Amino acid sequence: MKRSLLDILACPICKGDLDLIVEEEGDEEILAGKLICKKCSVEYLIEEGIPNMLPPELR
Amino acid sequence: MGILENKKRARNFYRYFSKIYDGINPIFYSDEMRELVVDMAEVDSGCKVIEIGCGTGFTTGEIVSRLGEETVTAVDLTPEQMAKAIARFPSVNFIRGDAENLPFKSDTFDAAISAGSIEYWPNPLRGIEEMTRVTKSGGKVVILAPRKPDNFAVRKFAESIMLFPSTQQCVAWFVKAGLNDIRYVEKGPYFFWNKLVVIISGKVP
Repeated sequence: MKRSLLDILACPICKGDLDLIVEEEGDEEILAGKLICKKCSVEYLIEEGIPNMLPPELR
Repeated sequence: MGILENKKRARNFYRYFSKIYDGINPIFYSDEMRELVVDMAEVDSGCKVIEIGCGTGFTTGEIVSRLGEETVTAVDLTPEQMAKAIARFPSVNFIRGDAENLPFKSDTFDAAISAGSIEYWPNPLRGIEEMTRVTKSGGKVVILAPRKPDNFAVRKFAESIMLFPSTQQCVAWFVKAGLNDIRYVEKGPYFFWNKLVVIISGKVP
């Protein structure tokens, strides 16, 4: 995912803002890492550049 | 309840079906239909568009041909289907997500489009409400849904596979979601099968 995507992403459950933790970054994209909801603390993994924003029960 | 309505079941089905999907989908979903879907979203270059249930990217291709890839965001539940769309349009913003729990801030997009996905949503009204929430005031929400077949026997068969909402049901959901200026077109890929789907649009107040 592009870093700019963080401006529009929100927690799918509570719609809270997200913190980004980068584990691996390419030239333009974040390849691995996680997004953590500032409100409800649920974590969403970024794998192979794609954030998995499914609520935990649908993963 | 049709056999594909449950999200986990739909996901498992597409994990295997994705291998042959691109050969079958154009039989039911013509170029003319996908052009109409994007026409009804009333978007120009520079517009930010969200597509819900992008699958292998059949409708994504039509959106990208008009807007380019950078301002398009596409969501799908199934990684196997989405892998093909990612290979085709590498600069589109792809996200794994659920239609009924969209992972976006409110008032983010100029239009929200979903073609051939609503039949898998257990709570279609909630999905339409989510599309409305993430779209800016004045923007369009557009959905293509398979229509409830008119013939009784065909309808019973179709309903055993998945959810086929009627046109009236779709209009009712759009009204309930608070959308204005609701318009719809019933359309099909062939002259002898000309009311296979309903394409419906509404404006965010």
